[in-house]
Amino acid sequence: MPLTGYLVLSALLFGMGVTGVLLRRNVVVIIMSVELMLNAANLALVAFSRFLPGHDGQVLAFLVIAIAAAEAAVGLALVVHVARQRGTVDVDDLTLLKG
Amino acid sequence: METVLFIIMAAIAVTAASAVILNRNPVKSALALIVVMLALAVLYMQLSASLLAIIQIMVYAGAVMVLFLFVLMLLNVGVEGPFPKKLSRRAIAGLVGALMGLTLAGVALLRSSVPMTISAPAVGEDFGSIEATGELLLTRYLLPFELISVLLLVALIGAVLATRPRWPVPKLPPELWPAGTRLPEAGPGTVGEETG
Repeated sequence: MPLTGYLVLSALLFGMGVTGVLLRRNVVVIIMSVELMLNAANLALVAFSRFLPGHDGQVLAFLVIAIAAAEAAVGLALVVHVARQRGTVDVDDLTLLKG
Repeated sequence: METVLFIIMAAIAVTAASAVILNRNPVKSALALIVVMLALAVLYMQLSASLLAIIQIMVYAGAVMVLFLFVLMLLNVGVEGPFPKKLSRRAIAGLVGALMGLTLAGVALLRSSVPMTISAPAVGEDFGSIEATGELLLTRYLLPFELISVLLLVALIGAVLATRPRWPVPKLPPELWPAGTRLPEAGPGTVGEETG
């Protein structure tokens, strides 16, 4: 399979992640969509690493996975706190910072 | 054979990704996201990144998604109502997402300095192995690798602090509140109530 296939798949997954972030109202699902976008970027990195033979892309993807895990942990902790305080995880109802 | 496997996995990944963003039940979204990650792990394996494929399954499909499901079940999140209340917001969301995906795909197809149609160059047996990746990780990328450990520690402490039931902040009496402050609507777990 040529590199183009992997890059197009990566672009499609990234676009679906963007759609999910804009479409969904549940904060947890929004964080899941962000994870989808990070995964799409990882696929492009690994594909480039294979086609320009070298391990740099894989190392970068490894770092991205670690950062994504940290981001999910902190984001979900904030979601749990917000849900305890406000009783909802719907972004349309969380308007405390709205001017 | 390689192309067939790629097409099958790409179809599974795209179908499951659309299930993630379109399914109104968040638990089903999370399960669909696990399918996406597993399909991507197969693609990593096909790209000779065996170490990364295993890490993807262990860290992403394992740890991170268990965390997501745990939070979903802890909060007892119900089925989401209709997506944004306004139709225009739904249309904008779909349009922006489609535009971004198509732009990226177009750039990948048209404007790359890497020859796109060639098949993958031959690599040795140890490409993507623990030795080859780990050596690079501990030489050229040593500083980012060490910084990641600091980041994980900070995330750990931050997550524990953020989920503490009550903040040790003294309550301000209502007469000292800034002008225009309104009480939040009463509901389960409203600010100021004991929720622990």
